Amino acid sequence: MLDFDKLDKTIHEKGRLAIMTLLATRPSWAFQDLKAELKMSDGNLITHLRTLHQGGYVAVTKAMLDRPQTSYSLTEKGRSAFQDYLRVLEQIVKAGKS
Amino acid sequence: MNEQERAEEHLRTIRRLMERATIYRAISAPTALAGGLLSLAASCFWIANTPPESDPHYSFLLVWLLVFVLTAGTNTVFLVLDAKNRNEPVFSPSMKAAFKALAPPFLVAAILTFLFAVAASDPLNEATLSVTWAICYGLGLLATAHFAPRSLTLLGWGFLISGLAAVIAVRFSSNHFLAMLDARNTVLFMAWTFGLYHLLYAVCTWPRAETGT
Repeated sequence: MLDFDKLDKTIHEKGRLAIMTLLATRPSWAFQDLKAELKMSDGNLITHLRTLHQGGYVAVTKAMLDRPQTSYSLTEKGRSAFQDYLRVLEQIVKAGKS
Repeated sequence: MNEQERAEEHLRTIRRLMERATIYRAISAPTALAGGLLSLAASCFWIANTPPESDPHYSFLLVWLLVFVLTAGTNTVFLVLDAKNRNEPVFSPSMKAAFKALAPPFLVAAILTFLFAVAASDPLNEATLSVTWAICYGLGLLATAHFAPRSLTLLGWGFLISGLAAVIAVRFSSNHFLAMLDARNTVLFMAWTFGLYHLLYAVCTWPRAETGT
């Protein structure tokens, strides 16, 4: 029986799921763009990104452009975990319909 | 809410976020401003410098091709800058999708323009060419609707409806509306659509352009 307990707890949180979703759409996201898109506070966003980084799901790149810029991207492990997460959700939906 | 409904809700949220993040604006507000101003300037210049008795065929074509090249160049610059700001390749998947969507109607417009250029004869006169441009441009913008912001779709409808309104006027007008349109009035149609509509689009989208809505 598939249920929400099978879902990856690192991803299965509203804020982190939103971050993972956005990171899956582009090669990388600047911190400010993520913040603007998700309308999160700096502290909240940093906390979630740190959790995802510690889980090995997100890579951090610091670059010096006009000003210091921190960018985030999904690691292979993160992309794979996100796809697995989606797969479990789809299986829950299918199981409910059958 | 049971587990299935919760899972569906999660998937909907993910889809909504992904769609929002992948929206692609093929025409930026600054490009629309440049295109609108160029179109209005070209209309004024052409009307002021083309005597009524002269053959307007090539001057009409040259002026509007110049406007197209300058506007397309401006758009390219802004698309490249936007791609750099997003830290994405210039030829991103979104840009490729936009090109694919725009290509068929733009190809139609290009071929009819070429025929107009090589044969200065009716029925392919300035009026029909300008209506064709408006319709093809509108169809092109509407073809990007599944990943374009709503404002761009509305702009597409504006061009399509204006072009079709001109065509319908031909059918139902007792005095053949398009036949009455000389090159001078056709330029006014171009100023109204490619000039005014682009300026309206620029004004409406400029404050929100930074957030990508």
